[in-house]
This record gives sequence, structure tokens and C-alpha cells, in this order.
Amino acid sequence: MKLLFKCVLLAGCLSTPLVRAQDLHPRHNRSGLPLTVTVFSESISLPTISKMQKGGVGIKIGTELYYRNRPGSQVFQAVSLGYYHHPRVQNGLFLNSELGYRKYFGGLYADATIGGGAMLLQPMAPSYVRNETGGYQKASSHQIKFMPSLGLGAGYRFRNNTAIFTHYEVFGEMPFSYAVLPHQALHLGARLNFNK
Amino acid sequence: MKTTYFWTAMAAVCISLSACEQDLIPQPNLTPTDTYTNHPNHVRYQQYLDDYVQFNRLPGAVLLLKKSNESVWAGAAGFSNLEHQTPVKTTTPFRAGSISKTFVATLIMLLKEQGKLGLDDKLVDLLPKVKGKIPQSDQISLRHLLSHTSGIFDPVNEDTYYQLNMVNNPAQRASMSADDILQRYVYGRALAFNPGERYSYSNTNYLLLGQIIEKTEGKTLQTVLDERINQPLGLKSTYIDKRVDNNVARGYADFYANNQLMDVTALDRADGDGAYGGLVSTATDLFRFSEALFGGKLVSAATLKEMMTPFPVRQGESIYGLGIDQWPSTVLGTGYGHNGSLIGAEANVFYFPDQQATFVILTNYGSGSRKDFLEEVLVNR
Repeated sequence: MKLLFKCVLLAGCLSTPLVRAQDLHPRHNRSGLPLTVTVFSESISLPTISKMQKGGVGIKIGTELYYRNRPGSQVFQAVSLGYYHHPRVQNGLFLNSELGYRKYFGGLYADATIGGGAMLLQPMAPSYVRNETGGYQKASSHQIKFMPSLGLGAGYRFRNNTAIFTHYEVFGEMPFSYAVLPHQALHLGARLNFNK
Repeated sequence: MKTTYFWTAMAAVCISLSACEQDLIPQPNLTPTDTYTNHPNHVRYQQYLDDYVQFNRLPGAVLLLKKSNESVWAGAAGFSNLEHQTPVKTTTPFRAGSISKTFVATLIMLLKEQGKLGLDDKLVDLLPKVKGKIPQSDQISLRHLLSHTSGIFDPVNEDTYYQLNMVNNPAQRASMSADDILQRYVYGRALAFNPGERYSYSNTNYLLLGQIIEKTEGKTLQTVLDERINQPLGLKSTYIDKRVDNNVARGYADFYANNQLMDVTALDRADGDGAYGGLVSTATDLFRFSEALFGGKLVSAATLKEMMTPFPVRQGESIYGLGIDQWPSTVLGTGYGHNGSLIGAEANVFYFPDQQATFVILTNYGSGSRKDFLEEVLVNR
């Protein structure tokens, strides 16, 4: 629980300057902050479509703040909390923030995002730490990781500003013995506006 | 308000799910150990082993030494299972990884001595199913496979997708057959070079050799191993098939580069597979095998010489014979044997003819270790 708190705090710190930037400069969407909900499949993999493997499933909930919000395009900051369960390998709870650009073609749109966050990782395999006497004792079952991410998406926005979309994301776990352990995720989601 | 409820519910779900239990580690049975405390150099050798374990921060290790003027000595240090703080014993079985290759090469050579196989037999004739799937299979010989000069692709070391797929789902990889591996990662890949041109270590060579043994004998690799090596030599703790054995030392690695040892046994079970890396054995069994092989009790002197001679590649150089690698040493002379390396294990068995000495060293740590002390221990002064 202490670790979870640290994780959320760390991710909060990472995203705070970006949220502040939104407060100072960008204009809010007229209809208020949207709620974004996605479900996703996750796997440990290099980016691939043809060799995609079954891995875990997850859910991600977040919102978007707009630096620029024009009829044909948006520059936004997404802030999300998510969780995935990868059976027999690991669980991840993460808080991340992504900078994105979205271009509309009528109701259709495409977007790209780049960001980072903090992940509270729970590998299913236990770890051990060496103590002062040269023996070993069990380590905490949770670890905090940096989570860089890149994404590409496409969707459709309805007249009431609600949108449905799919989003392909590559994210990593750092540190790892070979610098970064790559994951990919395929999201299906909706962006809802409650505060009209 | 709705949003607040939603976020609260989401947070509760996440926290409860993140409290999932980690894997339960089975407890090994207590096994009897051999004792070497009466050996005249026991204290000295045990100190070397303790220092080796301490210096390399290993969870556990077994060392066996045989010098020309001494009886065999074996010692153990550290833990085979950190969860249950189980001490390593000299009889603890370890994953031996690629030492499997020397066993498989020996089986091939035994079949060659019986006239069932020829070293110049071609892959396509031995395994017709690879025709059109592995290029130049009509030019790749048994000798090329044994000496890693076939040029066949090695997904285990060269394919990041293979490696990440294993991390993504170790159980699925562990359940894949040799044919599944060939189909998914090897068939259709170009050779790295023309057969015989160069040396390039490829686990696929031994995956195919395992299939050739099974096809030639009409029996599983494990059965052939039992009949031709284990039973004649009295090896009671050596096997190559996949079986549940809680007494095998669990594998550990600094997987996340955080100075913690993660239990990577599931990855070792997946990665250390069959004819190229599935061997499990003890220090004593590996010594008996090495002693029999280099003592001419398994194969003829001519066959042994062939196994110890590196293939004359046309480009570059090779110190690898037919399932036998070399350990170059200016102090001990050239050693002959094999090493094995998995994510959570390291094993070495080498025989030094100049010294008439052998060492076997087994650890359950896969990130490498310094073994300089062996030269000092093994040299005859």
C-alpha cells in the first residue's frame, strides 16, 4: 500500500507540470473534461501486428486536457490510470500522461501520442535480496518502474462529441536487464462527455 | 458525481487486483548428500568454492574437482531454493543447459559407430520433412549440424521475438514441440552462410539432431539416452525430458537490474529444452559421463578424436568439435567439454588432458561468474 502510494505520487509529480501548463495556456474543451475508457489486450513483445501474441488484458481510464482545440485538430494531454493482468507473469497498475496530436477528417480522426508514467509492477515470480550476512530474504512483491509509451490511434467522433476509437500502444518497463522490456497493447475505447 | 464514483470504483478494483498472490514455490525433498570431508584438500577446496559463491553473489553452486594424483572431491555452497532456504548439496540436480549437446553428439556418434548414421549423411535424407523449408538441406551434413557449421538460423540467441514470446508466456513455450519451434521460428529463414563455410553456434542444429536420433531409433530421446548412456554408466540423476522435479535447483537472475534475484525457473524450463538444452544432472553424473567419454569407455578412440577436432571452416576459425567445445588455458592446456547457460543457470564440465584433471561447476545463477580460481586449483605443481 505504501508502494502504491509512492507510485501514484511519482506519477502525479511527473504529470503535474504538464497539467499546470494546461491551466496556464490551453483552452478547455467547451463541453468540459471528457472521460476516456478503454479495454486493452497486452503482451510482452516488440511492435508487431503479424506476430501478435496472447498476453494479458487491462482497463484504462483517463481524461484529456487541451492545449489547442480546433474543429480540425487537437493538441492534448491525456492523463490515465490503468491496470492490466498478465496471467502467470505479472500485474501492472500505472498512472501515465501522454502528449498527443489529433487530426479530424469529418467525423473520423487519427492521433499519435508520446508519454511516460509510473508503473507499480507485481511480477508473479518472487525476488530475493541479499542481506548483510550473505543470506537471502524475500524482496517486496511490488516494484516501481518507469513506463515510456508511444501510441497511434484512429476513431470516430459523433455529433455530441462522444467518440469511439482504437489505439495501438507500445510501452516499456524500465529499468530492465536489457534496458527496457517492451510491451504492446491494443485498446478499444470510448471518450465520453458528461458535463455539458 | 458519476465520474467520482467511477474513479473510486476503478481505484478499488485496481488495488484489490494488484494484491494478487505471487507464485507458490514448491519445497524440495531432502536428499542425501555425498560427503568429501575426509578428502585431504577438503578445507582448501571448500574455501575456494565459498569465495567463488560470495564474490559472484551466487545463490548456490556445486564444484567437483578431479586431479590426477587425488581422489574426486565435491563441495556445495549456498542455496538451491531461496524460498525455502534449502542448502545446495553435492547431489542437488541442476539445469545443465547446452551440456545436453555433448550427450546428444555422443548418441549420434554411437549410432555412427553402429553404422546407423554417417557423418556425411545429408539433412534432407535424415529428415525429409525439412525439404524446401530449410535451404540447402541437401548440402547440410550431420557433421555440419554437430559442429555448428550448417548456417541454420538460431532463434534462441538471435530472434528477439522468440525471446520476448518466451517471457510473455513461458508455459506456452514450454509446451511447444521441436516441430512447433521449427515451424514457427526456423522454416523459411535463409542460412547465414553456405554449409561448412563458417562456424556459428545454433541451437537449431541440436534440435534437429534430437529428431534424427528419435527417428533413427524409433524411440524418444530420453529412452535412447537411458539405454546408451545413463544405464551403462549408472547415471541416476540425469535426464533430458520435461518432468516435474522439485529437487532441481531453482534458477535465479537479476532480471530487472535491481540487485534482486528473481526466480526465473519458469523461463529456464521453457528455454532449456530437449536436445539442445534440456539436460538436468548432478555434478557426480556429469563427471562420470566426462570420465567415460574421455576415457574411451563410451566411444572408440578414433571417434573421440573426431569429436575433439574442430571443423576446418573456410572462413574465420572454430574451436568447436562435434559436440565438444574447448576451454583455452595457458596454465592448464586446452580443456575439452561444454558449458551450459540459461537465464537462471550456468554449468561447465571440462577435462584437461595435459593435467589429467576435470572440473564440474554448476550454479543456479544465469548472469555469469568469474572462474579464474579454477586454473590455480587444477594446476599440478
